[in-house]
Amino acid sequence: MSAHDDIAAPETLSAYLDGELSVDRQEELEAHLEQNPESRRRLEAMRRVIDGLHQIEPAMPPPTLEHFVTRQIALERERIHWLKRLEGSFSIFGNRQSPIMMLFGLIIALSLFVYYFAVAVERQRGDSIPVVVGPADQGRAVGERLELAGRVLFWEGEAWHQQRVGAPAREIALATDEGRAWLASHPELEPLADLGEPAVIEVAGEVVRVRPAAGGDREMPAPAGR
Amino acid sequence: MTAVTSQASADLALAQRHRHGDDRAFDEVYRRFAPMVYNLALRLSGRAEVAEDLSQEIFIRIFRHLGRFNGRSSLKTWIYRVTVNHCRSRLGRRRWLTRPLAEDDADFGVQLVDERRDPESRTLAGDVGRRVAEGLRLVKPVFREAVVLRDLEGLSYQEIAQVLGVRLGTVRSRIARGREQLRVYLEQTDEAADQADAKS
Repeated sequence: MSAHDDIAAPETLSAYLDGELSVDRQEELEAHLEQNPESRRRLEAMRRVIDGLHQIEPAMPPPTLEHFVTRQIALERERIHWLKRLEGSFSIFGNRQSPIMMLFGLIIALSLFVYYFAVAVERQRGDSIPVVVGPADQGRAVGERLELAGRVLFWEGEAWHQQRVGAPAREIALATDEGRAWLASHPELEPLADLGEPAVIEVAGEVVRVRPAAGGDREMPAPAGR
Repeated sequence: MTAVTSQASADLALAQRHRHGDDRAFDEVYRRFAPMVYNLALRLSGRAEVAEDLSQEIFIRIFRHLGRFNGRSSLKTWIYRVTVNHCRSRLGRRRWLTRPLAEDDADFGVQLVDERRDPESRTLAGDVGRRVAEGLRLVKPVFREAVVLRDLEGLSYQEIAQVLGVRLGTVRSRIARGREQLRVYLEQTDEAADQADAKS
């Protein structure tokens, strides 16, 4: 850029219009402007921009702004108030309430720890419900799980229930002829005879309640034809 | 000089009252500076609804930090600085601010003035003002800040340097470049208007 161009550079013209040029620089520019119509045109164009900017009127803040700010500030004051109270209560060198509040805090912390520990243990137990294979010797717990004849059964209401099956359409007593015949036609269900406990299962699209031999007698006679 | 000193003392006293929990101190700050904050947010964001959201957030920031105001600058300059910094951080990722004019809606420039005023007072004093308002949104944000602070907010170069945290030479350069972009924009729209007139 030549010295001639530099004197009429936008930065110089802009500063000139703001009265920010030194006296020497101002005189130099004015002398240049007298001789140079193109620089004068650019100066006037920049003056026009500034005039246009001055024509933009200030806006009034919307009335809702004060309402929202007031509400937010009230919340902020509330937050600060509680923070200060908490800070004061837990300060070792604070007021007389400190030991009580510290004890209170410790109790809360301990309670939370016990609660989360219990939740974690419960979750752990839920993840690993014991699987029982074969007959039980003792009473069952609700939710206890058993795998039998390719089905997953859960203990509920004094009987094993296959997952996601509805109410049984009929009941089959394994101690009867009918029961033995039924079991003979479904050889894969033979473990039911050894189970000794009632079970609700789905067999060939039908939900049946299978009742073991009376009293859960495991000495049930073998099914007919076997 | 005495007026400046007394204003500085009053600003410091205001901050101190706020620090000590005097609720009225912040209310006073809001009353004094709400138009200033809103207008600056409006000019920098270009949209009234965005400016309102920004203003709310800015006043929360002012509330949180007013107690730390130390009087090294005037309270007005400090609040301008908070406003500019907040607008920069919140608007930095919003690309719509720099969309080309052709892609934007019809009332592009009018959004730089307060839309809630009555239609008569909303009308800018002249066509140049309207087009400059339109063009301002296309000016690069870093130059726009300087131009808005100088030509709309009326700050001195020294005050702008304090608000933006840059040297005087940088302020001068940014103002000039912003105005130059607006000059080019005005000339282009002049030509477009002339061509439209010639066709009709």
